[in-house]
Amino acid sequence: MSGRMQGRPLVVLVVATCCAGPCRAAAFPLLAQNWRELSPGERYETLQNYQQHERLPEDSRRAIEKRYERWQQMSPDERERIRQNYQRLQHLSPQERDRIQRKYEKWRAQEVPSQ
Amino acid sequence: MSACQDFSEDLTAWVEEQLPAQRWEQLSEHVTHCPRCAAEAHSLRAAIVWQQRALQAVAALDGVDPLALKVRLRRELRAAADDKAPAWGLRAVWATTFGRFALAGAAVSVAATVLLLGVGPEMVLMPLGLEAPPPAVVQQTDFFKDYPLIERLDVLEHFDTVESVPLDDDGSASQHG
Repeated sequence: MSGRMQGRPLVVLVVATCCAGPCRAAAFPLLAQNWRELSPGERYETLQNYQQHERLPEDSRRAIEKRYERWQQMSPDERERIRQNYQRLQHLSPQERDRIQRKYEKWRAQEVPSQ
Repeated sequence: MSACQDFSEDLTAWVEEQLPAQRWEQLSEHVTHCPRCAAEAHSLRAAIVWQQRALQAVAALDGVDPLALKVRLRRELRAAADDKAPAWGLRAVWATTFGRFALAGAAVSVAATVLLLGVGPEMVLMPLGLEAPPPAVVQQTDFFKDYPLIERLDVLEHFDTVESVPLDDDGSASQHG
């Protein structure tokens, strides 16, 4: 998905945001973000994420929705820490990200042997 | 200055020759003697031509109703003007001159994005606010906006711990070396 997040949205961001910028509502880092408050580029990515979610099998969708419930219950500090980790992950190369994923799977297998 | 403000409200209609004769002549007289309004009228004409070309480009696309698009663009721009323009006299100027450029820009962006990316028109119209997104997106904007993060939540939660986990291929060089 990282490749998808880099190409098209970039063009959309340049074309749509520059041309239609005057139409958009100002985007603020609100806790509960409203569709109308997103920029055209953010809306495009949000829609792509929605489409991706819709294409997933039911059990995968449920798993992600459960993660979201956990995310909602986290404290602001914890969320901030995770956002920073996400930024770190974003800056890694695809190979490095793959290594992190493998490391996570290995770590999880050790932590939860039954799974 | 106050005369310019008075005339600017009708400048777009003057350019499009949609004013009653008497009012049209008043504006013509004013534009002849006011370099600022003359420049604005010139910009408006350019924007209208640009808008017409953009809408023609959009009309050539499959699945886009140019008339409906034009109506939507106008409605959006009017709403944007009401939201953002100051409450005093410049509102009309903003809503006409700026609105014209924004209208043309939005139409061009629709055409260009659809052509460049080969995506469906809804993937351009929805981000631009010209078509309603699926209800699920409106209800759970946070979720879908942060989706890439939520997807990796398990890894991100334990990122520091996970980073230090050695992989089998980490030590292969030293073992063989």
